[in-house]
Amino acid sequence: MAVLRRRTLRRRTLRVGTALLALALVGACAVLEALRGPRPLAFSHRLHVEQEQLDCVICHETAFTRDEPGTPAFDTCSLCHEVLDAEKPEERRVETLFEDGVYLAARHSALPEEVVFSHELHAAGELACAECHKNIERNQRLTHAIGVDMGRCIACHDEWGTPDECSTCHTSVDQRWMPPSHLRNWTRAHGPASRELRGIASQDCSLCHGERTCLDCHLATPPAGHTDVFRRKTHGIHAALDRRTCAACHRSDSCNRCHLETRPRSHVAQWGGQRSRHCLGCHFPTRANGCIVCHKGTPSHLLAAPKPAWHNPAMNCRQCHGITAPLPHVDKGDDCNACHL
Amino acid sequence: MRPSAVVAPVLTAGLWASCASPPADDTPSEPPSDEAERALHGSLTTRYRGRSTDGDQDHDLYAVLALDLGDAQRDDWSASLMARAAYDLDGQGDVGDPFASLSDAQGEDLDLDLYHAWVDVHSLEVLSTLRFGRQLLYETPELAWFDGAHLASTPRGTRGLLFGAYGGVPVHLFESSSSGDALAGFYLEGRPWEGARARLDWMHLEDETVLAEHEDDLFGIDLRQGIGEKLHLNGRYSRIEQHDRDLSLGASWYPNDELTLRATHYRLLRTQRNRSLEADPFFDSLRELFPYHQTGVLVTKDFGERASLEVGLDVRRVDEADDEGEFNRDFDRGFVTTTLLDVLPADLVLSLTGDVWDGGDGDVNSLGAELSLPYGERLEWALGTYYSLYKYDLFLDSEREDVRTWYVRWRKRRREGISLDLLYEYEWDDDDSYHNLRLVGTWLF
Repeated sequence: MAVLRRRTLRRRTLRVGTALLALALVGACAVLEALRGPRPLAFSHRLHVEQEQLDCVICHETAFTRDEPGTPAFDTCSLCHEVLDAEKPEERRVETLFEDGVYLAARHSALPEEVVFSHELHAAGELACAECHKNIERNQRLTHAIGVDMGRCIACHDEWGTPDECSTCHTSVDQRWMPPSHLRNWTRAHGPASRELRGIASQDCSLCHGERTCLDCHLATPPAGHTDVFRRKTHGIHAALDRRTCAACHRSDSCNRCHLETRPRSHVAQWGGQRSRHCLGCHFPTRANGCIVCHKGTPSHLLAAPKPAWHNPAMNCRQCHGITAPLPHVDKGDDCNACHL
Repeated sequence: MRPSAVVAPVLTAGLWASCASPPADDTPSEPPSDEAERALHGSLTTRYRGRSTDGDQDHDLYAVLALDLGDAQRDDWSASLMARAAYDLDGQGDVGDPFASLSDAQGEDLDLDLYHAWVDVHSLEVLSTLRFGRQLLYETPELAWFDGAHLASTPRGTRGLLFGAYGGVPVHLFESSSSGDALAGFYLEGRPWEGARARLDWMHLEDETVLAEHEDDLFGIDLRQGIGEKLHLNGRYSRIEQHDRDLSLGASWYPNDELTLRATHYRLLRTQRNRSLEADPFFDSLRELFPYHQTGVLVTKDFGERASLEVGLDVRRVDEADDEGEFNRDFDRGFVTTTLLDVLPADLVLSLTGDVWDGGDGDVNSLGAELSLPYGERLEWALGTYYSLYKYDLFLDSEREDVRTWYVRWRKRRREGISLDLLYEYEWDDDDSYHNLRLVGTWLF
């Protein structure tokens, strides 16, 4: 009954907790949304490419002639938008895409300076624009997602037999180079980041890290939460709750070895004596508890004096014992027959 | 001469070398030539740890060496090694010592662990893997960590079918003898249809202990399915001996670049008792693991490049109410972590985390915060705090354990491949307080 009551209570707690958590999350998302920084620019490739059938070079004028493909110039846009925008509110006019004549979204697809790349060289071959700029004709917002993923470079280079060294495209990136994401808060963030992988090559851990990196590092380096208090006291609570998480790194040989060689910090002074509180763990009432982690039986209890021959288990011990003086046990004679056979 | 007399100076020298002053010119050094890079990569991490509490002290030195020799894509063979040495500088760690730990349980001041040491042969076209030595396989039904051999055929046909087999003596770092221990298995892997990957495993385990000999056969099926680029599904089922063992299901959905949703479900199908070490459910310490199911949801959301939020909820239920006990619990767990980058002034990064376990007789509530301040690309300061409240039922009393931690961390990347970490941590609960100092030097080469 107690277990059922506890489960019902827990379900209720879970419902209330979930509702509160949901509320808190909505609030947190609203705050974080406000902090997100610049909004994606509302430029639609779909409108210009699919609907208006404009050629790429109208905006990217140097795509076939220079290393940089070029970004739209205000004057070019104005050829159409001077008329189109006349009736639009200011915030929806094409000029909002520019600042001091510079196209604001240029940063989204700009390659780092250390990358060696010639747009002319790649575009002048037999490659169609969409070979690298996949789905660009359906793009509706300018975000970093419009950049060409490195996986596409690698796949194409593999086909063409281009060496897959870092130095083929990078001047300063090699296997010892650390991505910017690794510089800030990375110890805490690398777990979620590795779970978020979506097949984006430039975010692929295996570019630099071998197959064994995760296992080796986690085998040799304990988590930050494994502090001294955790080691001495609280790890048992976690193990009792969720031993499967422990099994991510530990196996039972390490538990057995350590528990064989060390002693709980509670086991001092009168621990184990007749009046010691430790007896309560088993006798008041009898229940499975932490003692069995080390104590598989109770050999010391076998040393208890046997009952006189004329006693039998059906007798009430307290009818005679404990009337004039308290019984020398913390359980007050709850189960004498367990030891006094 | 005791080996520790040799190793201690070597470890100290490694730490010193890692911490050595940078060259006068702090600009990145020229990368070595391609030839040299192909030859040898690796890292050496040396860590000093000093701890104290109420008059007791402990000083330890650790070194982790990782080496990769050759290139699997180009060379006929390649090799890899990773090992750790732990040296107890002051010989503390006896029974009852407040700093006694797993390393001390080995009985020597010097504890050497070889994590892996393998040689790969790449010259046989019919084999995609031919590996000898100490190695780990993590896609097997249980982690296979063994000294032996592993081979896998080259994927064939449009289905990419491959066959693999392995066998050897399992690595049990904390057992004193490997006599009577063995491990072997094989697997079949392929892509049965578009977007899918399937794997069948059979694994045989033998483990001899002082009181028992275990032989277990595990069978596992693993299926992964990608539906478009935005939805990934996975499932895994295993049997042990002639019985169902467990089932896990998962789904990851990536609706857009900034949002990830993951749902998982795990079900233990049959009570697990004493088994071979690889499949053992911590029986000696925690006794039987009764059937249960656990469902989890994890949501990760980025808000541009300036903020991220991770929220998770896990619900675990023991199948039979009668089986619920000290080590087989129902629990509900919720956790949330948020990180703010480039929001606070002066490039401060703020990370907040909360974790709540409601486990009936054992609840754990934790809150943490870390504020870090980078100086350019090479230096970072961090200040953090963590508070945990453990609530548990000990002998009918409702015990409370408050644990507080403060730490400060300083990280310096001195030049390409070399970094230094200094961490001081002060932790205290209702009974004790601990000072913990760590100095870590890492050299990547």
